[in-house]
Amino acid sequence: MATINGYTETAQGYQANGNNTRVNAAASPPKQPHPPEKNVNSQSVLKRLQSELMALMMSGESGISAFPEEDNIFCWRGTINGSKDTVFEGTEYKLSFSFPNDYPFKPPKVKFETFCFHPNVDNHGNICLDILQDKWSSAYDVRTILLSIQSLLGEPNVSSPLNSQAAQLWSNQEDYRKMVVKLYKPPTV
Amino acid sequence: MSTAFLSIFGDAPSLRTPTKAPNRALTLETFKHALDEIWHRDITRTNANDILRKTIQYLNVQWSGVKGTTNLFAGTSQLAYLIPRDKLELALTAIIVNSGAKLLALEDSQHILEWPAILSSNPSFDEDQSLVHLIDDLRSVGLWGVQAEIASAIAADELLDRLIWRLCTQRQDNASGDVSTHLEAFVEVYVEGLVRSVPHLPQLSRAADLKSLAFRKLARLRSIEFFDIVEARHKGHGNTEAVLKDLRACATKPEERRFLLEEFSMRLERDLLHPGRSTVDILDIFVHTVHLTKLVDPHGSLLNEVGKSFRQYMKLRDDAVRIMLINFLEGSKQDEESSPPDWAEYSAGIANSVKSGDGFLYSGDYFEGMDLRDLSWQPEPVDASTGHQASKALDDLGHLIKLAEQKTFVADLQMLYRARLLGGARSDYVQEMDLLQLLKRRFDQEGAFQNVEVMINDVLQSHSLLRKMVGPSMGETPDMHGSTASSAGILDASHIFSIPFGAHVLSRAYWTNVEAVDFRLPTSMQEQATAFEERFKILHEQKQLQWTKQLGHATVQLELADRTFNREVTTAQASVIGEFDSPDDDSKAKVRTYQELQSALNMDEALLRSCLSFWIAQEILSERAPNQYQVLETLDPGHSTAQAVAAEASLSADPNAPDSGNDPSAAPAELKSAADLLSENGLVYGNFIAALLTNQGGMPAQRIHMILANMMPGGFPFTVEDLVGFLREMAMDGGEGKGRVETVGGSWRIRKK
Repeated sequence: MATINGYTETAQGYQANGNNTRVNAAASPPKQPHPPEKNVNSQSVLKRLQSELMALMMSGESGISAFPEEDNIFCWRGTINGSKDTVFEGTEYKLSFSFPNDYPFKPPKVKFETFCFHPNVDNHGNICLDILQDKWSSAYDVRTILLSIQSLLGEPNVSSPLNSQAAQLWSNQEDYRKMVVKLYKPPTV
Repeated sequence: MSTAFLSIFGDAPSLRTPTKAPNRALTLETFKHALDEIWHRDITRTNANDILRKTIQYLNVQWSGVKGTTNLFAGTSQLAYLIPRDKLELALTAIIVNSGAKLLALEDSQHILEWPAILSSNPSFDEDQSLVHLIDDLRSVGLWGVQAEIASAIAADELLDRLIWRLCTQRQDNASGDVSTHLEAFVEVYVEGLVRSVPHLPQLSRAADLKSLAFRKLARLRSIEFFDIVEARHKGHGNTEAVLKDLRACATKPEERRFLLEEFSMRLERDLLHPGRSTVDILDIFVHTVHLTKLVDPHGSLLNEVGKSFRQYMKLRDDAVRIMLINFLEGSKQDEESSPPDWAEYSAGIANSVKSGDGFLYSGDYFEGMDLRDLSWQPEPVDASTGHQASKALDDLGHLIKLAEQKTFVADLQMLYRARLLGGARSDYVQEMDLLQLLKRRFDQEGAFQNVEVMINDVLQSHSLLRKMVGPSMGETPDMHGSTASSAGILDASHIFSIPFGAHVLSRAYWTNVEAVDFRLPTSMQEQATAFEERFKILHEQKQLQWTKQLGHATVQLELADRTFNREVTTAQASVIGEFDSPDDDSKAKVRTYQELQSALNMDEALLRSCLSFWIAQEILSERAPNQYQVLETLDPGHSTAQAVAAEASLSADPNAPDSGNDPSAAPAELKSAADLLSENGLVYGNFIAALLTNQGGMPAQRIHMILANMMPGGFPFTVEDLVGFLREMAMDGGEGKGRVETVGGSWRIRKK
């Protein structure tokens, strides 16, 4: 049962990347997770998270990093540095990841822990990013999420903002930069 | 009818004046108060008897006038509720334990030696019948009810514990020190005494119940000892028979077997399968474990489970197969009479397993010569896991070899055979051939050992090839060759080759790591090689010959001013030292620069450096200035030794030395030090640590170590000290202390840019 569900959901994720509306309509109802397998699955989720951690470490990407919390591998903390040549250059933002028990069939909950003045991030740190919601696919992992958020900083989606002030200001990059610097609080760990 | 009424009526006023007529003041209140007086103390073994007697006395005094009511109280056991329940139980337990201990002579250390006498006599719980009287009295006042049953159960439990403990500790020095046989007799004595002295206990007088309880207790105690027994066998001392017999007799139920397994596994994790124990220790203990678990559990389901943890752990030890094989090879040489060799990695257990491994089926050798192939049959234990049937047919050798995965086993076998077959002049390869035959016969699947077979064949063929080249001279020196091809060493072919010379012709695809590395040989050797090549072409026209010079060996004799040096070295090392040979120039020790040597020998840099380090370590060469080498004609003790030590160190330990990782002449399967491994995988570990410190903030090394151990797949097999060294390296990495991390007040954190 679990395997079959896994296949359909994976397939859905892959197709959704290319062509969303039709597939979403045709996909099996999402509100039928696999509650009976939760205990069985947690082992495989654990394995998946461990291998994601290993992959992240092996890749050695600079500017992004993440690590599980000491006592709970289902909660991670991440760090993103603003990319060069964007208004976020020189900033550092903390993120929190919380993985569901049926990960990777469901996306993790990702939030900004440091305040980020960004059109697609609200005051509580919630992020509006398609791959963390309806376009999630089990092919994504922590590394791709981190990279996506990093690139989201430089290329926001101004048309559907969570922070309308930031969205309006985005066209004026100089002022935006000033605003970012003014509001930026370097994280203290 | 009316009389009775009057009598009760007449009693009524006296209830209000209890002090004047104590006998008649039988309210529960007064009972309770008086009994509280007696029972308020803590119950101990010594005062229990006293308290019970006082209680009986009090009650008897109270009732002396109203005998008729006694039975009423006794029947409903109401009194028992007036006395604190737990205290009554304690007191009753105490009196049974006291008598039982006397019966079984648990208190008396002298008495214990006369146990057989006790067993044969007909002892009773109490000679003077005081216990019987006490119990009768207790019954008459209603205190010998439900609590008595509970108490006698607790007492039996405690007495058995003490009995087993005494038996185990007292009889250890005794030759037939197993406890299980005596235990049964003792339980019978106890039950007999119990029945005689403590009547009215139908449930607990069943001997079978107590016996199984006793055996269970003994099984637990012996299970805890089992690992120590294996360890004692490994160290070659300790009388282990008793424990094994007991375990065999007692650990029969699934519950006990699981306890034994859990206890043993726990000890394995804690005391054996950790980085502190050497691989040869672990393997040796494994062999003993195989022996002993077979004794305890002939079906092997226990071993099956234990073997899993061994196998799991041995994956981390990449020298395991090598040690096994070396012991197999060397062990087969050993006779029973000769003393064991004193090299560090020798294990008699491993070595013997190959000797005993010749038979195909498991035979009952372990049971003192009895053939139990049929006799030992027992139904399969209930808790046997699936697939344990397969392990039954295995003997020591089979179990040992099963520790390694076949792929690694064959790969290591090839490496070892490569080193042994090519490792200089050898006259015979009997051990290697025997072992290979054995392995093939026993474990061959899908031709896994084919490569190794070809390797041996190549070497043997090479000998006959050499003989062919020598041609007619073979007849002249028959004593050199022996009767079989395998016993022929390097042939004396002096009429063709001016110095003793031999070559192995290896089939290319079947040898690992034999890529040709070219360099210039000393002239005399090169001549021989060319001569060999010419002859080979005549004999095998289709084949191409390519020299793998780095695999060769040469005996070098050096005559220096104050000493001579005579040793077998690799061809590359011989070539390097050959460059310092100065037959026509007698004036002074020759000085050669690195560039000169390089152009003269045309040798790979890593190989040349390692050869130079070797000669410096041997105190033949010295490095006068960087890249300038000179022969040390005379030895100056103080200075040169230090240099040699340094060179030796750089040869073996320095991970940055170019020769350590890829030196083709290095001995195979050398164990890398932890520090090497740490630096080798430094990038990944560095990323882990950086990510950890970035996202969780600064922390002391101890905590980093713990988190890494938890988070790294496969754990973090290094000590905290290794980690601190690595962190220091990370801190220094960028040069001028600009690494990724820094330490502030004992805690490590990411360096702020």
